[in-house]
Amino acid sequence: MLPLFGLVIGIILGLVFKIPVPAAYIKYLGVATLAALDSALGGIKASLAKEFNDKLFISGFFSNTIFAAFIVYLGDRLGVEPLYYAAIVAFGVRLFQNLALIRRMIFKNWE
Amino acid sequence: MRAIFRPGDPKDLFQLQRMTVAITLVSVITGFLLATQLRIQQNVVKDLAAESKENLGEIIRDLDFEVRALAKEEKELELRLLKYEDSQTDNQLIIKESEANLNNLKKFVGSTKVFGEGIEINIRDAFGAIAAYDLLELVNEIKSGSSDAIAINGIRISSKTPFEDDPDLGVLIGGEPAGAPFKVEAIGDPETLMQVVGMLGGIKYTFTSYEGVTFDVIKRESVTIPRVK
Repeated sequence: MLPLFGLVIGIILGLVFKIPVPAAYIKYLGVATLAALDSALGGIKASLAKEFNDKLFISGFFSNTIFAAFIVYLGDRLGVEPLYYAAIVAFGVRLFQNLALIRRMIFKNWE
Repeated sequence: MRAIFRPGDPKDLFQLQRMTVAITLVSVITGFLLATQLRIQQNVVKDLAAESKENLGEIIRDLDFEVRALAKEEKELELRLLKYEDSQTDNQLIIKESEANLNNLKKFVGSTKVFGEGIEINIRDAFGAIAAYDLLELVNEIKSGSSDAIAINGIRISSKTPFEDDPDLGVLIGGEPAGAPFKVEAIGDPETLMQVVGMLGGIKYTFTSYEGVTFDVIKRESVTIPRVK
C-alpha cells in the first residue's frame, strides 16, 4: 500500500510544483518516465518474488532513467531517430512482462 | 545479494522496512515524473488546440516565414564567409579595386588631371547662335557615352559646373566666359563617343541646324583634361 501511496504523493507533487521543462525535452522526459515506471514495477516484482535488493533497485532505477533519456538524446545527435522507438518498445515490453508477473504472484499468494 | 524473508525474524523485518522505503521513494519519483510529463504534454496540445483555425494558419505562415528568413540568412552568411575567405587570400585585389574606385571618384569630381584617348570637337559659331543650354546638352550627350572627363575651352566640367548665358560675355562655364570657337575635349572610348555625338538626328544635327555653326569631331589618341579650378 505504501508504494501506491508514494506514487499518488509523487503525482500530486508533480502537479503542484510545476517545474518548467522546455517542450523540446518532452521526448527525453517521456522515455525517462517509462524507464522509471519499469524500474518501480521491477522492484515490486522482486519484492513479491522475495528477491529484492535495495542497492540494486535504487542504482538500477537511477541508471535506467538517466540512460534511457541519454539513449534518445544520442539517437537525435547521431541522426538515428529509431533509437527513441527502440527504447519505448524495450521498456514497453518489460512493463507488460513485469505487470503480468506481478499479477500472477499476487494471485498465487492469495491461493 | 538475494534476500529471503522469514516472518518474525527482526533482521528480515528491517530488510522489509528498507524495501518498502526504497520502493515508496522510487514510486514518489516515478509519480512526480509522470505528472510532470502529463502536464507538459497537455500544455503543448492545449496551446495549439486553443488556437482558432485562422491563428493556426498564421502560426504556420509565421513559422514558414521564419524558416525562409533563416535559410536566406544562412545563404548570406555563407556568401559572406566565402567573401572573407577570398579577401584573405587576395588582399592585393582589394587594394587594386579600392585604388580604381578612388581614381574613378577623383575623375568624377574632377579633382585630378586626367589624360587618355578620346575625342575632340571643334565648334565654330559665326553669329553667336550657341547658348549655354546647347553646350549643357552636348555635355550630357557625351556623358551618356561613358566619358570619364570633359573640358570645354580648357574648363573642366564636373557634376556641379554651372552653364549660364551672359548678355555681354556670352556663355559662362563655371563662371568663366567661354566664347566661340568652342573646343570640347572628352576622354573615353573614342568609337563610342563618336557614335554618340554623330548620331543621326542627334546633337550634331542640333548644332549644325543653327546658321553659321560648324561641328567637327576627331578621334584623339591622347587627350589631357585639367582638374577643376
